[in-house]
Amino acid sequence: MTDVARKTVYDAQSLLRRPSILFAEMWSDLLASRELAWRLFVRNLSAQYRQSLLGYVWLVVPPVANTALWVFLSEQRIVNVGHTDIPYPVYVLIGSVLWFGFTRSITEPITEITTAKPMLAKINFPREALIIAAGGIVLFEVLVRIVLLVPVFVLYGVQVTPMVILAPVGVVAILGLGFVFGVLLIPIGILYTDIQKGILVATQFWFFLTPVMYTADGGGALGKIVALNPVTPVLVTTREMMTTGDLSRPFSFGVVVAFSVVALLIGWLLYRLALPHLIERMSA
Amino acid sequence: MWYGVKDVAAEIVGLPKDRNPGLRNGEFWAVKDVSFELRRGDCLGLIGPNGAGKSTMLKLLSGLIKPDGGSIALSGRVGALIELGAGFNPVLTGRENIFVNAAVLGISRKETEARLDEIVDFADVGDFLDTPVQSYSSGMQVRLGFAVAASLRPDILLIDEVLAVGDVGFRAKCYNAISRIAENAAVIFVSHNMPQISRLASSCIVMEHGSARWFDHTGLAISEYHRCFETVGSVVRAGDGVARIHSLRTSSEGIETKTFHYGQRFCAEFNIESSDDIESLVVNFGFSTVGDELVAECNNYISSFPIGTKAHHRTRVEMTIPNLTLNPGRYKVSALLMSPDMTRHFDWLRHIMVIEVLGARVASAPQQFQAEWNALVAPKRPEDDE
Repeated sequence: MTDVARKTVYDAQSLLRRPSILFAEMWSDLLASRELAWRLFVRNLSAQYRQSLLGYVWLVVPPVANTALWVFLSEQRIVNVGHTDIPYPVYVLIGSVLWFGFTRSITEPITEITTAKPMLAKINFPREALIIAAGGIVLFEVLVRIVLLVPVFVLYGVQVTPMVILAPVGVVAILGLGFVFGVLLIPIGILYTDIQKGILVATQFWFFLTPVMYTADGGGALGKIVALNPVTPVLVTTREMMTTGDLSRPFSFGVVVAFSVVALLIGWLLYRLALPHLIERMSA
Repeated sequence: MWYGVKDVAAEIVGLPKDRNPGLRNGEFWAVKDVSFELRRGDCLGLIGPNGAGKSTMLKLLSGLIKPDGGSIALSGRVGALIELGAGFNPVLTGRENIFVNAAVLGISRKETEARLDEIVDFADVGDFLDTPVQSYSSGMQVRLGFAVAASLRPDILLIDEVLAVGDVGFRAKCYNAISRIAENAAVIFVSHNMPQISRLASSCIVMEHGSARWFDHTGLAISEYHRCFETVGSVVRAGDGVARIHSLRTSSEGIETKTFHYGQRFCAEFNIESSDDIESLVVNFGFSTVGDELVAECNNYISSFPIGTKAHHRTRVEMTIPNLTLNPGRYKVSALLMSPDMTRHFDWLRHIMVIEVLGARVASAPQQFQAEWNALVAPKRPEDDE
């Protein structure tokens, strides 16, 4: 059973010179990726935990341990940075979960592509599937951690407001922002392997410039940097959505989200244009 | 790497490309000036030495790499038997990996489920289907990968040297599967197995250092392929020199030639000059493949024809093989003059010349006997109907 002759033409000209064909192809590849993305997602998840002794327990252990540690440290009053509207351990925990999601969104795309290198160099398949699968994995891991926040909320008696309905938007926004960087870094990451080490160093540094552990209202040089940091409004707003319901920076949040959407589309386009050239240089 | 960055940048900026781009420093043409057309039902064999550009050609055809000049037009679904078991994760079971691999190859979930029995049957891994793939032997992994790929129903099929594995039974299954797909598709396959090319291909392209030549006749293509491996070297000569061979000429039916058809007469004429009287010596011709494997010999001792020489007199010798039953291909000829008890070697010329044997079909063994055949269909007897 063959499709009605679907004609494909490859030539040396840049794909951008025929934008309507390019966009049509991108859209159809995106749709074609659905099944493959799901398969890859299921494969990665099953394989990750099947071989380990404790299996899916490992999904849960790091955040639980992290939570317990922060609660303990806070009780001991070792760390105390600024006034927060909600109990400090909860403040930090929400921050760390969101930060975790952000950094994973940066690294997961390039990791997924690297794992798929043998396939990429030999078979032509809809490559959007790799990105979507990467996104799925990150979303799943973040969701597990968010679920674990619920007992913490109960423990500290934190009330949620109706604003919590918007929280998923905030979560997607911060993951999306990370994804923007992740996808944009793919072409460079394939050509130069030190990009992954670079990301590691950069994110560790970035952590301290983001109000995960401290409040965003401080002044001075740090305050200025924090204000310019694009992650700040998204992180802070999502945290507020989950707890106080009082949004302090709705405007910057909106700006960052709009920027992310545009940047993601550009990143996708770049990914598509660059990949044939990158594959040429990938050893089989 | 830097050229990679520049290429990506050029793509993004959308610069118009030259019709005939030049090479940058350190680059070479992996594939140059290749043009051909294929229709449904055609089977093209792509042969050539390693590094000729065959795999690059397949990557261009499957759309993995963009050409730097020219264009490629494909109608219909493209299927590739290039990387078997793509997407396999060793921790998952065979069954689960079938679904992953099928998804990578572009087979939808519904189609995979519909063809699952066919795939499982083809792979023949038995109870191992539900155990992790890491416990499979490498042969089983290949079988599983091939089974999924064999269930493709493409319009264009690209195969890259994957037919070399498995036992005889499995290979027969593979050939059948490919023939079945080839009935309704255009097939391009890369192979180093000449009998296989001879058997499956309807036409051939021989590639060498990026350039390509089209052949409608597989036998000629295979000759060309062998020619690629001929190393230009000086004739090696050894022996004590008491007797020497000179002026060797080969001919068939009176015409001097180095090209023969399978089964044709092969004549060799040469002179022997010696500094001593030799009562009896043995002249031995050896035929070796391009891979330096000695596959046939011809000497006067076995034929019980004595040859003797007189000092400073020229002895002219003629040798005729009534039918040269060598498998079509190229062969290097070497000659040896020695005493009947093999203690003295007078002259030994390694690879004096190369001859070519042409034929409609290239088979496997170096010697292809010509036999008399007889077949008679027996009349039906009433007892046979029981």
